[in-house]
Amino acid sequence: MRINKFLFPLILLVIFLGVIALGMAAGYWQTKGGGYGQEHESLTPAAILTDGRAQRWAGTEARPYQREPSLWQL
Amino acid sequence: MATITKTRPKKRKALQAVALRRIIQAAFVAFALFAGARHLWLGSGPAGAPSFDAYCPFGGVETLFQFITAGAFVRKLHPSNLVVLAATLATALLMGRAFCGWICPLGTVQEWLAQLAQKLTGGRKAWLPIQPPPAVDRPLRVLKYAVLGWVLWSSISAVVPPLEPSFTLN
Repeated sequence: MRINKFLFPLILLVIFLGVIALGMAAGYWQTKGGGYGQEHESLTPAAILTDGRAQRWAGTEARPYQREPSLWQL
Repeated sequence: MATITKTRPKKRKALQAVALRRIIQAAFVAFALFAGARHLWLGSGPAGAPSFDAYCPFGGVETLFQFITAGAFVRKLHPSNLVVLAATLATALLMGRAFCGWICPLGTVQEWLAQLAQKLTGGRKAWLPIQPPPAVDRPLRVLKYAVLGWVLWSSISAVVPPLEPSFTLN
């Protein structure tokens, strides 16, 4: 079926964003905590301190380094 | 004369439609950059921001088997991946591959690079991007199914997602 070329993107966005909005309304929109717990994640740009802790560049907190280094450390 | 006056508005409308597509594509690329920058700046974890992985529909494909069989997710993928996958499948069902041409930031970047290559190699008579003849193009199109099969098999047989760059490089 052929539709108006200006209507096409509108329908596309309504369907795409509409399904996401439905997912949000149903409570399925979780962008964290799926694959593994959030408490041990340390995948930000970080530097390893001599005592094994990771110091984040963006923040001021230091926490135990328990995950693999991020791309920034390779 | 009558032909010119008839075709001009048509051409203008076609150009407007192309501009609209580029605006929508640029908006999604901007969102991808924003999400990536926010994740880099704020980090992950409870106080951080989600990475762009969380918005990728292919993450939904990667984790689908594990979600169905164990109710769990492969590393770094989340319920939002399944929601975006559902949205992508809904658009594919009703509008074909429009997602790739209008929304996917990766498709947009590929398009921009192809345009750049065309400009750098001579505009309309450019030798890049290479256009394969149909006899070569047709069998090459099968490759994407092989890649899909490999990703699905890897997702089923492995715990970690195969396309996770930080894991692969480690």
